[in-house]
Amino acid sequence: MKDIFRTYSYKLKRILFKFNFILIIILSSFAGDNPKLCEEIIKQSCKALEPYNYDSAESTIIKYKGVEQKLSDIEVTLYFGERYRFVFNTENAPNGIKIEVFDKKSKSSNRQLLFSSEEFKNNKKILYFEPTKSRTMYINYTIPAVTSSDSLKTGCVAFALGYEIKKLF
Amino acid sequence: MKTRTISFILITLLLSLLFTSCNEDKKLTESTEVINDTTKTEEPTYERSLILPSPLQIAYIFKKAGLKYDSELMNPIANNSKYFSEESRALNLGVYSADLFYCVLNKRTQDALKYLKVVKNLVDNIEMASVIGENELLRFEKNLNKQDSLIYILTDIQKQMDIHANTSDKKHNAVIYFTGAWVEGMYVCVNSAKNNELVVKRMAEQLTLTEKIIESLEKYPTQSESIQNIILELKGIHNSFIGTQAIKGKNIDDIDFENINITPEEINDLSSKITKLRSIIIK
Repeated sequence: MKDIFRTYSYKLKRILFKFNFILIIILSSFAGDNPKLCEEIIKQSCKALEPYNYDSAESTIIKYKGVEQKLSDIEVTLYFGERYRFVFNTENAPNGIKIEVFDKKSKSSNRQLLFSSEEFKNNKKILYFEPTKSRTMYINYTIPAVTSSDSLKTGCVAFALGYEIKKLF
Repeated sequence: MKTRTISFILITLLLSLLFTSCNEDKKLTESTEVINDTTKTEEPTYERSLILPSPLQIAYIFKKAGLKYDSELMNPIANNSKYFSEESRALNLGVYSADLFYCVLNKRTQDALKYLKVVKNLVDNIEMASVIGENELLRFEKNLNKQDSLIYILTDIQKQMDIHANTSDKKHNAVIYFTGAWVEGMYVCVNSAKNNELVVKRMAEQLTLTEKIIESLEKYPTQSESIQNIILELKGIHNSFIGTQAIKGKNIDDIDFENINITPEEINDLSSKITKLRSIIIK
């Protein structure tokens, strides 16, 4: 009886050890997922800037909610007389995310919409915008509500800015 | 035996829980940009996020406007040994980076190499060692006579620094770095090109960033005395700027910087404030 119990206990211990080992690996793999997710899409965005020279890049981690969310007025400084390219990478962003670029802040009554991701109907993940006039611009992200419980819970959208550099001599 | 089995189960479960909670903590610090629960489209929040331009672009814009080289204006390399705190290192990493860009854009390649070594030393000391390795130094040395290649290498380093800051908990260092670089660029500008109309216009355009820098620094987790002083000086610069005849009472978004006019008195006032702030940073 004692031997049976010992064998049973040994087997149980091995099963539990394996189970916990797998559990630990699964849980650990979630740690740092977001930065890695963002790092890769930032790198892709920077690559898409070519032939423009890299200026800056920013990733925004998005946590999906049951209501529509808006992140407004991400300010980007552009200098007069310079030429720029905006790159948005929505590869790991929620489906249906809307990206807009305005010439003025949300509070301004006379602001103009300069770019909208809704212009891209073909489900492109990397979106480009090259403004014709250079001055401070404002980016808005609108994230649709998530209704399905099995939807992804976090995502990331990356933005990169490039400028044209001319020979100085 | 039963007790040992139960203990084993408990320990392993505790370990699992520990891992889960560690992961949660990590996620919280990393997800600084997570959109708030209270943010709804019916009542959009005006949460302002800032994307600061690269100091290399700022240096390029000044150079294009006609800024001349004056080695006396740069932070002496010997000062490098004075910076011990992470904060002063990050600030002066910015200062020396701006000097490095200034050298490269003016084809002062030997000086540029010296400044790159100082920049590498500071980068190594603020946990960004992977950004500039021996490889980058070698690439830089090999391309000393090719300005395009040097700009490409520096852009690449800047990109790595930004990605590192974006995907780690060092985002605040990026703001401090930018502050140092911006102040150095402005210092060089106001002290070498007061009579160049185009440079002055470019300087005025740059001054729109003071508000953004103040806002970004105020978010810095540990408000040391030194950062508080810097914020105070920046507020003085910002107030002078918004008090100029060309800006007073106007919305910054409506200003035409191509045709802006800043008077010599206003330039002198801004110049002395920028010089004071720069001396606080490099001391």
